Amino acid sequence: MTGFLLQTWGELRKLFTRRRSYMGFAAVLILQTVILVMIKRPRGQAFIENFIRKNGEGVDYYFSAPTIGFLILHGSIILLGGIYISLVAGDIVAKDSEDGNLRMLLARPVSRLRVLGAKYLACLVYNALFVFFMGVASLVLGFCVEGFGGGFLALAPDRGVVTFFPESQALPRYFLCVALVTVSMMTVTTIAFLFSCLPIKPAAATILALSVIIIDMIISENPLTGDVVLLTDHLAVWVRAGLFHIPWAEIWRSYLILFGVNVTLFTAGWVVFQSRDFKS
Amino acid sequence: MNPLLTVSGLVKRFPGAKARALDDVSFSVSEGEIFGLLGHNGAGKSTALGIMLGLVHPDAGEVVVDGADVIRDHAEALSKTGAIFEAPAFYSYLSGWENLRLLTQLSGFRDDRAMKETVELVGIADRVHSKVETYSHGMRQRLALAQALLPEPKLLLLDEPTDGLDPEGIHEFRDLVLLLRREKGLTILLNSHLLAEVELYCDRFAILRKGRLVHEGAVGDHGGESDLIELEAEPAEAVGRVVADVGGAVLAGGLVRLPEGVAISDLVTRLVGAGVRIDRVSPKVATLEDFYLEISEADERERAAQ
Repeated sequence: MTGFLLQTWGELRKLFTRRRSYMGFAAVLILQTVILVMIKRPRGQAFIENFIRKNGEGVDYYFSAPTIGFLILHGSIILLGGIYISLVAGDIVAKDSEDGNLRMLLARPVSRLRVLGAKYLACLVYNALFVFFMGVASLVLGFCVEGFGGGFLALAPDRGVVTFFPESQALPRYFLCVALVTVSMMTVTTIAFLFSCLPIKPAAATILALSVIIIDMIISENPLTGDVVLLTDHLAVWVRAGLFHIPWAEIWRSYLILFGVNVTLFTAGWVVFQSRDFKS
Repeated sequence: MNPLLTVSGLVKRFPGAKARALDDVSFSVSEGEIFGLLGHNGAGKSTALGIMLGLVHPDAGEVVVDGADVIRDHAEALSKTGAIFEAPAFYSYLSGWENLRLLTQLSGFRDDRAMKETVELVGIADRVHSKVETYSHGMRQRLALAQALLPEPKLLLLDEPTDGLDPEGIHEFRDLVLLLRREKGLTILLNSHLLAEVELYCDRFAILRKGRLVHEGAVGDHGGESDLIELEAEPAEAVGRVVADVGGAVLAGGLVRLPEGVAISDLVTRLVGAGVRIDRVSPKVATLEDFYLEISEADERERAAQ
């Protein structure tokens, strides 16, 4: 076990020594700032303020940092999070294979499963750090424009439900949402990781992973096929943490399905990887 | 000597390939021996080495390292094996030391003192903490040797190790490998398409040609005097006449084939008698190159006949 953890630590060191691993963090800050500017435009701000007023709540209290953080996170997580998580997870095996580093690793007395396991775990750690960063960065941007304090307006668009939380519950609910979206995004990591195990270029692995997510989203959002519950519907279950009474059974069900998907995809990646020949 | 590496009946055909990359290849390497696997590009040398390291799945056959089967007892077999690949790849954004640490961790090895000693042995101690992207090809090769030597393998597999090195680098690398055999008693398998390299390093060698093992023997067995002599003499017409008189033939490149029973001294006496000025005469020693070409031609003829 110690050997496996050391190996995972080594993978993390490699990951965080490369400049491109930080590209996503920088891009997130830029895009989230753009979303913030859109929200704060007179039209955007007026829309949210009217929305709060129509629900009979105080604008000053609920047009707050957690509310803005939630809106920014909701608008950026699947696509922007998906892109940069896929970029790292799609790279992790395929790039080593392309560069010839995998031969050096596999010529050591370790199983291929262990090599893959350490890389996958490193991707999950990256996934958690990245999503947490997105959550914190959204909130900090909210603090920058609205200051500390205030309640939390959470949306569950698919249910058409809006929930208003008092200040005491604002940050705990916000971070519960961040924790759950971290779990959701592990499936995006796993999809990209599966493609990374195939004998294809790293860029192809990333593009394929994003294609799967985007196609899934298109089908899911299409009025003709919207009744079909696909991956992105389960990935979006994290917004339910913003309901007054959290439907835990529904959330667990979705995460069990995603867990099954993750195990299946990892196993498929491992089976392919195990059968591959690595020759100079 | 006991065989440390035994390769038996290896067969491999890559998906989509017409011919087999390896076709029933068997040989063994004894403890402490330097064994050369010689062959043209694409002969199957790297595929054989890949199978020895568990990187390539054979269709048939097995590889045993010190009693451990590479497929069934993968970890045990590889714990006794170090390898250098043709164009070894490192994480260029990490230092040499960090690369070594990452690779040796996979072998469950954490001994900074041994790592330091090895780095000194291969001669990169002063640059080991610099990023690999700043290394020359020769330094990368030395780093590759350092990782192959950690931790304490019995068998060293070298795949075209001097490819791309300058003559000085080749000489230094060769001395280092020979030192390792002498000091650490390592058994070494050397993949190469360079005949001189095999001649200089190896005790025994095998020739792989289009996936088939066409020869296995000791270096030196192929050598010895041939029926050819190298002759520089003038005038050429007189040389041709005298050689024909003794029943020989003048070949291209200043070579003369003498018939059986005619000594070089007999020819020299006749040439001097015919007024020929001799600048140089010496028996032609058959080189590994001659032998390799002969074997290759014979194999080609055999394949054509099949």
